[in-house]
Amino acid sequence: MDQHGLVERARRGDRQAFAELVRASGARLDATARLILRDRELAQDAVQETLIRAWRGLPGLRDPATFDHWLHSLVAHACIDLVRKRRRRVVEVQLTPIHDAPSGDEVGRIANRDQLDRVLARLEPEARAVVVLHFYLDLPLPRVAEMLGIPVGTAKSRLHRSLGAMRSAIAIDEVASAPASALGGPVR
Amino acid sequence: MTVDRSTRFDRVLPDLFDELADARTPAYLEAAIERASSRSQRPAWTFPGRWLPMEITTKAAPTAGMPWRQLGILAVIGILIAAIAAAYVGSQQRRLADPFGLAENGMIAVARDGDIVALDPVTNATTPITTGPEIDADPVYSPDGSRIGFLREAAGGRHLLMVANADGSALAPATPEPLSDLMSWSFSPDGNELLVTSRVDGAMQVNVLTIDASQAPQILDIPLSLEPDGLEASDYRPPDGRQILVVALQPGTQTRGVYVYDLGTRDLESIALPSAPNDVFGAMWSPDGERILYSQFSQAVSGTSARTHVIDADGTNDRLINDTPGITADPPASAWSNGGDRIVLQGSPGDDGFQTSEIRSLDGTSVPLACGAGHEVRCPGDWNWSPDDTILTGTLVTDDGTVSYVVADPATGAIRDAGWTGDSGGSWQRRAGE
Repeated sequence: MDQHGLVERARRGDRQAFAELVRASGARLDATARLILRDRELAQDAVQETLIRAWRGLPGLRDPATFDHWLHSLVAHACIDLVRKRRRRVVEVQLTPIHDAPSGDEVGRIANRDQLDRVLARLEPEARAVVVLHFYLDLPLPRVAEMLGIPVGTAKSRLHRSLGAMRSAIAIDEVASAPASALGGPVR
Repeated sequence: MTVDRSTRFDRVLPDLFDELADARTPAYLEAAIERASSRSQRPAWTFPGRWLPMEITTKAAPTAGMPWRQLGILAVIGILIAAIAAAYVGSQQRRLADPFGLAENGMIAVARDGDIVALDPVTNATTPITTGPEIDADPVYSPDGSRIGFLREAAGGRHLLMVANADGSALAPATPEPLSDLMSWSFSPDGNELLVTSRVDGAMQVNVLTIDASQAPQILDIPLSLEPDGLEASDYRPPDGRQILVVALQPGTQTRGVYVYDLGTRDLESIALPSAPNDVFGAMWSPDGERILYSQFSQAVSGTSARTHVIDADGTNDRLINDTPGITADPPASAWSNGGDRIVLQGSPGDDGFQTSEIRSLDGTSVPLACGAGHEVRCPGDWNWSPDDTILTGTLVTDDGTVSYVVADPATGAIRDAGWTGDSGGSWQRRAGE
């Protein structure tokens, strides 16, 4: 059955249809939450909260075609809410590498990936959310702003500021390390 | 890092993100699905669209034999009423509002269930502007209140920019093809053209379109950086619209400046030049077109550093309107009043991460709005002055995507629920006075 049909069934309380829908999006939801939160356990909490909000709110979803967009919006909000709750409790969020130990011999790619990992870690979660939604989920900025409930100008400023910080961090990294990065090499 | 390297960096980011994300179905997913779906769903009857079953609304009422005589009398009466009504409407034909400055309050347009509706802010009565299966959103009235523009969803997540008369008639697409990455758009003062900023093949593009697509889009050759998100052409300059405001990077710089681009001469005038590490955002014209508001923050400061400036439109007399950092102009959450004497500005987020809003008069006084940090209501993502400047309306989006509206009193800062529903930000219609 296509996604439209699954959403219609899930809206009427069909748990199996809901499970099928979520299985198709689960990997991307988890990856988005890990990228924004940079903590596997927090990401799991965010995805759990997302699924609860999705299940409860499905009957109100007016257009089944917007299901993916809506789900991404829910996971972004769940991530931001988790960060805010932890800030209020003054609990340190442990920043852990979000990727398993590298394997294989693709040194250049891994170096780039790790470089991005490091510079992402330096951003505030709200800024990371804008960067991740825009570059990972490939959403236009007005839609990112709409999802996060912030003005488009704020989204643009956060993105611009984040990219500037990331470029600076990468430039510093590159001065201090061997030039293995493809960021300085051919564009893929 | 050079601009070339920056551009390369932006281009490879999506691929790098894919690698970094390493998206795999997590082991906990099945248990999470089970936990979520073991709860109760929000009942379907809480959604108004489902209150009336189709069989009720579409059932034909039983009729007896045709009473031709009575029908004939009714038809004559109907024709007479229509003729009188037409004569009355003709005698009451309104002048159009001036495109800038104070005006009378008209309707508020919002999207609702995929259609555009106009609602009366006094009675909350609604009038449909668009109907049908298409999904329409984000309506905006033209400055004189005679037209309305909005986005219509097209295949592949793209959008058509549609324009109609304010009553929904003469609807036509202004964009010949759907746009995939529309950043911003606005009406010209006379409502006949649109200024559209979009991203095309990874580069920013600014177009002037005629509202009925009768002429080919005019691509503006603005000599500034076209890197992704590096340029935004926001608004036509009041009152004649011969110039536009541009916030953009200059090639070779990492911080944005404010520029005025002349649509006739193609000249670019620098208003506030980029000065690293200070970056500019949120520029907007005053309603008389004589001043420009903009905010600036330092990329070198990790904490709050943003300050808001007012500068004359010729680039002189730049002055700060806040002594302490943290007050910013950030449209659409910021807006200049129609009278030009007050501005809604944003305050720094509190400990709970929520931003505040305040109304700042150009004489230096301010009225905090009762939203954001320390209040039950978050501050809206947009604020809209009514054309007569007596109230502000704002749009709130909750965590589950539900949209609601608030009304604020600019004199006291008090906020209340607006009492109407919709799915997008509201746009006020300007009307001429009697």
